Amino acid sequence: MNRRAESDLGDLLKENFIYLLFVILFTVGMVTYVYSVRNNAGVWEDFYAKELAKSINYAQAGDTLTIDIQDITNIAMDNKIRDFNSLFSVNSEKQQICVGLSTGGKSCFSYFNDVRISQLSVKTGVPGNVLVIKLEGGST
Amino acid sequence: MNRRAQLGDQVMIFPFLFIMILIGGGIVGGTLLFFGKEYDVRQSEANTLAYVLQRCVQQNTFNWNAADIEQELYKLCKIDGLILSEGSLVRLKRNSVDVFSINSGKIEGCFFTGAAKNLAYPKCTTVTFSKEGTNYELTTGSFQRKQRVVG
Repeated sequence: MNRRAESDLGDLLKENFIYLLFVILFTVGMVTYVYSVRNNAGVWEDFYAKELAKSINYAQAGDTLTIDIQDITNIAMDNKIRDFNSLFSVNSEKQQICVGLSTGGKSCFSYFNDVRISQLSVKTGVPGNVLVIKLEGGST
Repeated sequence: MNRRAQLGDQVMIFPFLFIMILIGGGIVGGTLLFFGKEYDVRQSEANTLAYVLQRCVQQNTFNWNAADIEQELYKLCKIDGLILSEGSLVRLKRNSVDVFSINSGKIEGCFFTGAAKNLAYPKCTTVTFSKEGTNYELTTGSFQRKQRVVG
Protein backbone atom coordinates (compact mmCIF):
# COMPACT_ATOMS: atom_id res chain seq x y z
CA MET A 1 0.00 0.00 0.00
CA ASN A 2 1.35 3.38 -0.98
CA ARG A 3 0.55 5.48 2.06
CA ARG A 4 2.48 8.45 0.77
CA ALA A 5 0.29 8.65 -2.36
CA GLU A 6 -2.86 8.41 -0.21
CA SER A 7 -1.83 11.28 2.06
CA ASP A 8 -0.90 13.42 -1.00
CA LEU A 9 -4.30 12.72 -2.48
CA GLY A 10 -5.98 13.67 0.77
CA ASP A 11 -4.05 16.95 0.89
CA LEU A 12 -4.86 17.67 -2.74
CA LEU A 13 -8.57 17.17 -2.16
CA LYS A 14 -8.52 19.25 0.98
CA GLU A 15 -6.83 22.22 -0.80
CA ASN A 16 -9.09 22.08 -3.83
CA PHE A 17 -12.20 21.69 -1.68
CA ILE A 18 -11.55 25.06 -0.06
CA TYR A 19 -11.12 26.78 -3.45
CA LEU A 20 -14.18 25.04 -4.77
CA LEU A 21 -16.21 26.13 -1.78
CA PHE A 22 -15.14 29.76 -2.27
CA VAL A 23 -16.04 29.65 -5.95
CA ILE A 24 -19.46 28.13 -5.27
CA LEU A 25 -20.25 30.64 -2.53
CA PHE A 26 -19.09 33.50 -4.73
CA THR A 27 -21.14 32.33 -7.72
CA VAL A 28 -24.28 31.81 -5.65
CA GLY A 29 -23.86 35.24 -4.05
CA MET A 30 -23.36 37.03 -7.38
CA VAL A 31 -26.23 35.24 -9.10
CA THR A 32 -28.57 36.03 -6.18
CA TYR A 33 -27.59 39.70 -6.21
CA VAL A 34 -27.85 40.15 -9.96
CA TYR A 35 -31.16 38.23 -10.05
CA SER A 36 -32.58 40.57 -7.39
CA VAL A 37 -31.79 43.73 -9.43
CA ARG A 38 -32.30 42.36 -12.94
CA ASN A 39 -35.75 43.89 -13.52
CA ASN A 40 -35.08 47.20 -11.73
CA ALA A 41 -38.01 46.69 -9.34
CA GLY A 42 -36.52 49.09 -6.77
CA VAL A 43 -35.98 51.83 -9.34
CA TRP A 44 -39.53 51.57 -10.69
CA GLU A 45 -41.04 51.53 -7.19
CA ASP A 46 -39.20 54.75 -6.43
CA PHE A 47 -40.24 56.35 -9.72
CA TYR A 48 -43.93 55.44 -9.51
CA ALA A 49 -44.31 56.39 -5.84
CA LYS A 50 -42.90 59.86 -6.55
CA GLU A 51 -44.80 60.42 -9.78
CA LEU A 52 -48.07 59.32 -8.17
CA ALA A 53 -47.47 61.71 -5.26
CA LYS A 54 -46.82 64.51 -7.77
CA SER A 55 -50.06 63.73 -9.62
CA ILE A 56 -51.99 63.75 -6.35
CA ASN A 57 -50.43 67.10 -5.38
CA TYR A 58 -51.62 68.66 -8.64
CA ALA A 59 -55.11 67.18 -8.38
CA GLN A 60 -58.15 68.47 -6.51
CA ALA A 61 -60.89 66.85 -4.48
CA GLY A 62 -63.34 65.10 -6.81
CA ASP A 63 -60.71 64.21 -9.41
CA THR A 64 -60.14 60.70 -10.69
CA LEU A 65 -56.64 59.77 -11.84
CA THR A 66 -56.13 56.92 -14.29
CA ILE A 67 -52.54 55.75 -14.81
CA ASP A 68 -51.21 53.14 -17.21
CA ILE A 69 -49.30 50.56 -15.17
CA GLN A 70 -48.90 47.79 -17.74
CA ASP A 71 -45.09 47.87 -17.59
CA ILE A 72 -44.79 47.58 -13.85
CA THR A 73 -47.40 44.84 -13.59
CA ASN A 74 -45.11 42.85 -15.90
CA ILE A 75 -42.27 43.45 -13.43
CA ALA A 76 -44.51 42.38 -10.54
CA MET A 77 -45.41 39.16 -12.36
CA ASP A 78 -41.68 38.46 -12.86
CA ASN A 79 -41.36 38.79 -9.07
CA LYS A 80 -44.17 36.27 -8.53
CA ILE A 81 -46.81 38.81 -7.48
CA ARG A 82 -50.20 38.00 -9.01
CA ASP A 83 -52.53 40.27 -7.04
CA PHE A 84 -52.05 43.66 -8.72
CA ASN A 85 -54.14 45.47 -6.11
CA SER A 86 -51.45 44.65 -3.56
CA LEU A 87 -48.85 46.63 -5.53
CA PHE A 88 -50.23 49.97 -4.35
CA SER A 89 -51.24 51.11 -0.89
CA VAL A 90 -51.94 54.31 0.99
CA ASN A 91 -50.94 55.36 4.49
CA SER A 92 -53.63 57.94 5.28
CA GLU A 93 -52.07 58.98 8.55
CA LYS A 94 -48.76 59.95 6.95
CA GLN A 95 -50.38 60.84 3.61
CA GLN A 96 -48.08 58.47 1.78
CA ILE A 97 -48.57 56.53 -1.41
CA CYS A 98 -46.60 53.28 -1.49
CA VAL A 99 -45.54 51.05 -4.37
CA GLY A 100 -44.16 47.54 -3.92
CA LEU A 101 -43.10 45.42 -6.91
CA SER A 102 -41.37 42.64 -5.00
CA THR A 103 -41.99 40.71 -1.83
CA GLY A 104 -39.07 42.41 -0.06
CA GLY A 105 -40.75 45.73 0.71
CA LYS A 106 -42.17 48.90 -0.80
CA SER A 107 -41.21 52.51 -1.46
CA CYS A 108 -43.39 55.28 -0.03
CA PHE A 109 -43.55 59.00 -0.74
CA SER A 110 -45.66 61.68 0.92
CA TYR A 111 -48.02 64.08 -0.82
CA PHE A 112 -48.86 67.48 0.72
CA ASN A 113 -52.28 67.93 -0.91
CA ASP A 114 -54.96 67.66 1.76
CA VAL A 115 -57.15 65.11 0.00
CA ARG A 116 -58.37 61.65 0.91
CA ILE A 117 -57.89 58.73 -1.45
CA SER A 118 -61.30 57.08 -1.47
CA GLN A 119 -60.46 54.47 -4.10
CA LEU A 120 -57.18 52.88 -5.14
CA SER A 121 -57.72 49.96 -7.49
CA VAL A 122 -56.24 48.26 -10.54
CA LYS A 123 -58.36 47.53 -13.60
CA THR A 124 -57.11 44.94 -16.05
CA GLY A 125 -57.79 44.64 -19.75
CA VAL A 126 -58.88 48.26 -20.21
CA PRO A 127 -56.91 47.53 -22.63
CA GLY A 128 -53.81 47.02 -20.56
CA ASN A 129 -53.68 47.47 -16.81
CA VAL A 130 -54.52 50.84 -15.26
CA LEU A 131 -54.49 52.23 -11.75
CA VAL A 132 -57.55 54.24 -10.72
CA ILE A 133 -57.25 56.77 -7.89
CA LYS A 134 -60.31 58.70 -6.68
CA LEU A 135 -59.77 61.74 -4.51
CA GLU A 136 -62.13 63.34 -2.04
CA GLY A 137 -61.86 66.29 0.30
CA GLY A 138 -59.46 65.91 3.19
CA SER A 139 -59.47 66.97 6.81
CA THR A 140 -59.58 70.80 6.32
CA MET B 1 6.38 15.76 2.47
CA ASN B 2 7.93 19.00 1.15
CA ARG B 3 6.69 21.57 3.65
CA ARG B 4 8.41 24.51 1.88
CA ALA B 5 6.46 23.84 -1.29
CA GLN B 6 3.26 23.46 0.72
CA LEU B 7 3.70 26.87 2.31
CA GLY B 8 3.96 28.51 -1.14
CA ASP B 9 0.83 26.67 -2.18
CA GLN B 10 -1.16 27.90 0.84
CA VAL B 11 -0.04 31.49 0.34
CA MET B 12 -1.66 31.42 -3.14
CA ILE B 13 -5.09 31.57 -1.51
CA PHE B 14 -4.64 35.30 -0.91
CA PRO B 15 -4.30 36.30 -4.59
CA PHE B 16 -7.25 34.01 -5.28
CA LEU B 17 -9.38 35.80 -2.67
CA PHE B 18 -8.21 39.16 -3.95
CA ILE B 19 -9.34 38.30 -7.48
CA MET B 20 -12.71 37.10 -6.16
CA ILE B 21 -13.18 40.36 -4.26
CA LEU B 22 -12.16 42.36 -7.31
CA ILE B 23 -14.62 40.59 -9.59
CA GLY B 24 -17.44 40.63 -7.03
CA GLY B 25 -16.84 44.27 -6.18
CA GLY B 26 -16.85 45.17 -9.84
CA ILE B 27 -20.21 43.48 -10.44
CA VAL B 28 -21.85 44.99 -7.34
CA GLY B 29 -20.30 48.42 -7.91
CA GLY B 30 -21.38 48.47 -11.53
CA THR B 31 -25.00 47.61 -10.77
CA LEU B 32 -25.13 50.08 -7.88
CA LEU B 33 -23.75 52.87 -10.05
CA PHE B 34 -26.28 52.11 -12.75
CA PHE B 35 -29.39 51.39 -10.66
CA GLY B 36 -28.60 52.76 -7.22
CA LYS B 37 -29.22 56.47 -7.63
CA GLU B 38 -32.54 57.61 -6.20
CA TYR B 39 -34.97 59.28 -8.60
CA ASP B 40 -34.53 62.96 -7.75
CA VAL B 41 -37.84 64.87 -7.65
CA ARG B 42 -36.80 67.68 -5.32
CA GLN B 43 -36.90 70.37 -8.01
CA SER B 44 -40.15 69.02 -9.43
CA GLU B 45 -41.78 69.00 -6.00
CA ALA B 46 -40.58 72.53 -5.27
CA ASN B 47 -42.16 73.66 -8.57
CA THR B 48 -45.42 71.87 -7.73
CA LEU B 49 -45.61 73.48 -4.30
CA ALA B 50 -44.87 76.92 -5.79
CA TYR B 51 -47.61 76.46 -8.38
CA VAL B 52 -50.19 75.36 -5.77
CA LEU B 53 -49.38 78.16 -3.34
CA GLN B 54 -49.20 80.88 -5.98
CA ARG B 55 -52.56 79.84 -7.41
CA CYS B 56 -54.04 79.78 -3.91
CA VAL B 57 -52.77 83.24 -2.94
CA GLN B 58 -54.01 84.72 -6.23
CA GLN B 59 -57.46 83.14 -5.98
CA ASN B 60 -58.17 83.76 -2.28
CA THR B 61 -58.21 86.66 0.13
CA PHE B 62 -56.19 86.37 3.32
CA ASN B 63 -55.99 88.34 6.53
CA TRP B 64 -52.19 88.58 6.58
CA ASN B 65 -52.16 90.22 10.00
CA ALA B 66 -54.11 87.41 11.69
CA ALA B 67 -52.30 85.37 14.32
CA ASP B 68 -53.42 82.08 12.76
CA ILE B 69 -52.47 82.93 9.19
CA GLU B 70 -50.80 79.51 8.94
CA GLN B 71 -54.02 77.62 9.61
CA GLU B 72 -55.90 79.91 7.22
CA LEU B 73 -53.36 79.17 4.48
CA TYR B 74 -53.49 75.42 5.08
CA LYS B 75 -57.30 75.46 5.00
CA LEU B 76 -57.78 77.63 1.91
CA CYS B 77 -54.88 76.13 -0.05
CA LYS B 78 -55.89 72.61 1.02
CA ILE B 79 -52.39 71.54 2.03
CA ASP B 80 -51.19 69.55 5.02
CA GLY B 81 -48.82 71.62 7.13
CA LEU B 82 -47.45 68.62 9.00
CA ILE B 83 -46.39 66.88 5.80
CA LEU B 84 -44.81 70.09 4.52
CA SER B 85 -42.85 70.56 7.72
CA GLU B 86 -41.27 67.12 7.28
CA GLY B 87 -39.95 67.49 3.76
CA SER B 88 -40.49 70.95 2.33
CA LEU B 89 -39.71 74.58 2.94
CA VAL B 90 -41.74 77.67 2.18
CA ARG B 91 -41.11 81.38 2.55
CA LEU B 92 -43.70 83.92 1.47
CA LYS B 93 -42.89 87.60 1.45
CA ARG B 94 -45.44 90.32 0.96
CA ASN B 95 -43.91 93.63 -0.06
CA SER B 96 -40.53 92.28 1.18
CA VAL B 97 -41.93 91.36 4.59
CA ASP B 98 -42.02 87.72 5.70
CA VAL B 99 -45.63 86.68 6.31
CA PHE B 100 -45.40 82.89 6.27
CA SER B 101 -42.64 80.31 6.44
CA ILE B 102 -42.01 76.61 6.98
CA ASN B 103 -38.51 75.31 7.72
CA SER B 104 -37.09 78.76 6.99
CA GLY B 105 -33.81 77.72 8.62
CA LYS B 106 -33.10 75.40 5.69
CA ILE B 107 -33.49 78.05 3.03
CA GLU B 108 -29.75 78.74 2.89
CA GLY B 109 -29.32 75.17 1.68
CA CYS B 110 -31.04 76.18 -1.54
CA PHE B 111 -28.07 78.28 -2.55
CA PHE B 112 -25.28 75.76 -1.95
CA THR B 113 -24.35 75.08 -5.56
CA GLY B 114 -21.76 72.51 -4.54
CA ALA B 115 -24.43 70.41 -2.84
CA ALA B 116 -26.78 70.32 -5.83
CA LYS B 117 -26.43 66.55 -6.16
CA ASN B 118 -26.59 65.92 -2.43
CA LEU B 119 -30.06 64.61 -1.64
CA ALA B 120 -29.85 65.89 1.93
CA TYR B 121 -30.02 69.51 0.70
CA PRO B 122 -33.18 71.09 -0.68
CA LYS B 123 -33.75 72.23 -4.25
CA CYS B 124 -35.78 75.40 -4.49
CA THR B 125 -37.86 77.62 -6.72
CA THR B 126 -38.56 81.31 -6.31
CA VAL B 127 -41.49 83.00 -8.02
CA THR B 128 -42.60 86.62 -7.85
CA PHE B 129 -46.08 87.83 -8.66
CA SER B 130 -48.41 90.72 -7.96
CA LYS B 131 -51.95 90.90 -6.74
CA GLU B 132 -53.95 94.11 -6.32
CA GLY B 133 -50.83 96.26 -6.20
CA THR B 134 -49.05 94.03 -3.66
CA ASN B 135 -45.82 92.26 -4.59
CA TYR B 136 -45.28 88.70 -3.43
CA GLU B 137 -42.11 86.64 -3.41
CA LEU B 138 -42.61 82.93 -2.87
CA THR B 139 -39.72 80.53 -2.29
CA THR B 140 -40.46 76.83 -2.05
CA GLY B 141 -38.12 73.89 -1.69
CA SER B 142 -38.14 70.15 -1.17
CA PHE B 143 -35.78 67.78 0.62
CA GLN B 144 -38.13 64.86 1.00
CA ARG B 145 -36.63 61.39 0.46
CA LYS B 146 -38.49 58.21 -0.26
CA GLN B 147 -39.16 55.87 2.66
CA ARG B 148 -38.43 52.22 2.25
CA VAL B 149 -40.81 49.99 4.17
CA VAL B 150 -39.67 46.39 4.58
CA GLY B 151 -42.19 43.59 4.57
